[in-house]
Amino acid sequence: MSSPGAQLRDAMANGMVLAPFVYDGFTALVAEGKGAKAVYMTGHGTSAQIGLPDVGLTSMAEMVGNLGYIANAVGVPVIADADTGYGNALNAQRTVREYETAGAAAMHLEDQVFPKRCGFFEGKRCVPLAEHVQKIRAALDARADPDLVIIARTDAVAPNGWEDAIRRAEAYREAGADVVFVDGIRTLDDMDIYTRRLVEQGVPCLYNGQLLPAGDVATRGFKIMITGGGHALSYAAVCQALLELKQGGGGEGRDLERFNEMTSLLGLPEIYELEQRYSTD
Amino acid sequence: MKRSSRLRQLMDRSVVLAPGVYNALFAKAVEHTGFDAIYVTGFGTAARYGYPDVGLITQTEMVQNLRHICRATTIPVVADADTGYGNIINVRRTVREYERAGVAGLHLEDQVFPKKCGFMEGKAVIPLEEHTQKIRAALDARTDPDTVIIARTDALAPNGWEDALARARAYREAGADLVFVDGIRTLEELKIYSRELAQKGVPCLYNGGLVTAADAERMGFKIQILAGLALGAVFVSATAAMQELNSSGSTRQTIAQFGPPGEGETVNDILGVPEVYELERRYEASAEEEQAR
Repeated sequence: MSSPGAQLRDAMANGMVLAPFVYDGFTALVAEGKGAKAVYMTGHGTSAQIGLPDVGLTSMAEMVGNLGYIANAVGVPVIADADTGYGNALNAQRTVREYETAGAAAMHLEDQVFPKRCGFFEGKRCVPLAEHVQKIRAALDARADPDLVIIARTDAVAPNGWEDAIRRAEAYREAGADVVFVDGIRTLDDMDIYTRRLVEQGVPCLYNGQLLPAGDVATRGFKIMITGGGHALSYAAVCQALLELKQGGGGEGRDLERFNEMTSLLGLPEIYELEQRYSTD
Repeated sequence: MKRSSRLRQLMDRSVVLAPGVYNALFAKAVEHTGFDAIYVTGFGTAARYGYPDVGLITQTEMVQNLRHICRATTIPVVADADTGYGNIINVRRTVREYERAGVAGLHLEDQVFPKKCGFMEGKAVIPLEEHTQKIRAALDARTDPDTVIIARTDALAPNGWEDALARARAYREAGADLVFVDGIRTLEELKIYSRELAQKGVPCLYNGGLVTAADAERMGFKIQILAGLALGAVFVSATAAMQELNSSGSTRQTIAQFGPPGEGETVNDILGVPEVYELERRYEASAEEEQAR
């Protein structure tokens, strides 16, 4: 069987890969169950589920732990957030090895100062271009599987403007990054610049957001799109259920159908089968 | 006040309604919505790691999740401790690890290890006497005498009511603070549970949503947990989002349907991003200090 990275490369060769946001094994299973061809492990969501804001408090070990569960749960390639690589070029190399072992097909490394913050937060700062070029080179060198997809992310649009972001994206691509990822795209104007200045110049690009439907993003020539409600949607849905309960709800009985759908998704029928197969009776 | 003492105080007052969650973000949502207690589900914790609830998840993973949940909240946390992950020696360690993680109460069940979800087929139970000893070991292992030890029996489905009631009474007699008959599927069963135990002075926990909390209170229950609340909401919303993504390439409608979470609190607010900005300002090196250096 081909490696996760090779699977992702095959998928990218056949058009844009649409990877919904997931933050745990369960949401990954839901996405795969509904036909997702790849999933994206969000760092924001990974932090949120352990109760932390996305400001670089979550450790590499915690990210790798979550990644392992997700990659074990699903058969489709997992694209993973690797923040800044959790330090300098040497930390980035260890991060690449750990992510690869945990089952990542792709990972993105960003040019923020460590500790980082979410791409859409205020107060982002970037390391010098040359420093991140070296980090990307280090990451590429650290791969055991040459098919692992290394995605270079730049956060420079917000703090430094588009010209710097484009210069960085081009430099990271030149250093060998498989895909570049300009994060913090807030408007359609941003999206047009991203498309014209990078995608249409032949740079393989990743888009994070939902300004446009996936079909339109694919038509523009992007290679990967990461999108979806992720943990924010889950949080909203849980809050809604809690509010209903708080207002005296409940008492509607058991939803057996939903219970069975969930247990099937989690592989319970296979468990019963295995129990039979290895039974001593 | 310690969370364990707080849980006891709440139980003395009225039924404690504890919605079930399996990560720190949703636990924060429970506290923020104004509930008195949080229930941490093993089914959900297993699902979070990508597994069905059949005893594949280790004590370490449960404790790790509890540590994050307790750190993220201040209200009492009642936690699923499955079978205690082995025999009485394992139970002792489980109680201590759960206490250190910060839980106020935990339930230990009489299933054969490895266990199954209380609502699944193929459950089997250990002898009554063996679980009674496990409960005694759990009570003795507490370092906080207020930690609430809940004895769960799974005997209803495999053995019927008579055995389930005998077990519940024996576990209570051994000193369990509460008993918990799991696998209540119908209102009829809930009424038997209430009549034979809850109304007869045995403090009971009910897992399910067959009745509202007000009715659970009238039926004499001390705690009502809705173990599947968060996982169900996540399943429904994530499934809807994926269906929309497949059909239209976007998830915007689903996101709009579930609306902004309660009272405009965003995920970032509830996770403390405003406090992070404040801390950054507070500990920023001042210009004068930098000059002086």
